[in-house]
Amino acid sequence: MTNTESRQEQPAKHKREVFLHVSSWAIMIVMTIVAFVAVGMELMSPMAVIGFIVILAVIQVFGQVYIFMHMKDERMSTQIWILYGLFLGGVFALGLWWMSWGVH
Amino acid sequence: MTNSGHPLIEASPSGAPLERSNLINRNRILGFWLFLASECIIFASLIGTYLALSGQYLNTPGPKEAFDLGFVFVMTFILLTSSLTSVLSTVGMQRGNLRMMHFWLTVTILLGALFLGLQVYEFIEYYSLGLTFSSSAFGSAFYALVGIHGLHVGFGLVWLTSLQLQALSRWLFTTKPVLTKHNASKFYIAGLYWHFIDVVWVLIFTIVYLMGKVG
Repeated sequence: MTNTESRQEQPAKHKREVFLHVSSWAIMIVMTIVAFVAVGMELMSPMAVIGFIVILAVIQVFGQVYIFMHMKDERMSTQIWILYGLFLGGVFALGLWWMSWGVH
Repeated sequence: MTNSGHPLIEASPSGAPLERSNLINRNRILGFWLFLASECIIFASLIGTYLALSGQYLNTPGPKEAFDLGFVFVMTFILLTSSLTSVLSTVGMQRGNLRMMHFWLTVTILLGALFLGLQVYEFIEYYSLGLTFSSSAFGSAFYALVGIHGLHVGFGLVWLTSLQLQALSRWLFTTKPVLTKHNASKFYIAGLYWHFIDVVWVLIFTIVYLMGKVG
């Protein structure tokens, strides 16, 4: 790639990147509104609505990590570290919760 | 790159973004990801504790009586938007556009301060309802989790504000160039921290507020 080519490509690349960020923000806001409306208007049974909002939250978390935190640009080794952190976090949270099942 | 020629900015030598221009910067970013992985475990422990204790409040106010979904939605909207403005500030840094970087960083700080103010107001409101740190096991777990998230927001505000002051003024803290290929990673890393706070809030508003309302 020569210098002149990269100079021409930069503005288009920047525009695409800002568009990606603004559109993913808009999608996250819509998903948040859907989650709040689903809970506020009691459209579904409690178990169904909990499953639904947890799925929305997981999608939002991965959107934040991959797009806003630029993890799509990281090396695979770095991605494995943070995914391992998220996995361990899941184990800790579920493990602590599990201890209370059947108590009340 | 359009960076070259600006007195305060050194151009990135390769085609890599400014914050990844050398090994030190790349290692700082990797190190910060490891820190965030350990933060995941701190928040996971608090969330697990909350899930275990959230049903135990007897006749003191529980999640259903205390939480106001409209208010929490406004807080969520503010923090999600601050995540967007923070990433725009990072894009400004990568372009070597200091005006863009400073503008969006200022907006991020203002939104973060607004969020923190609303959270303080929310806690005062709950205290007046009788939901306190020691009113029930639910109260303890709630204030521990949401309070430590709020502390992270407060720390992030101090961090972003000092970065902003340091980068705005060449005389206040440093006379070195504001943005170089050696220090670009500090702006990037502060952005990573801010997004992480937002990731945790996504989990908190889902698990604490929305699931609390469902019951």
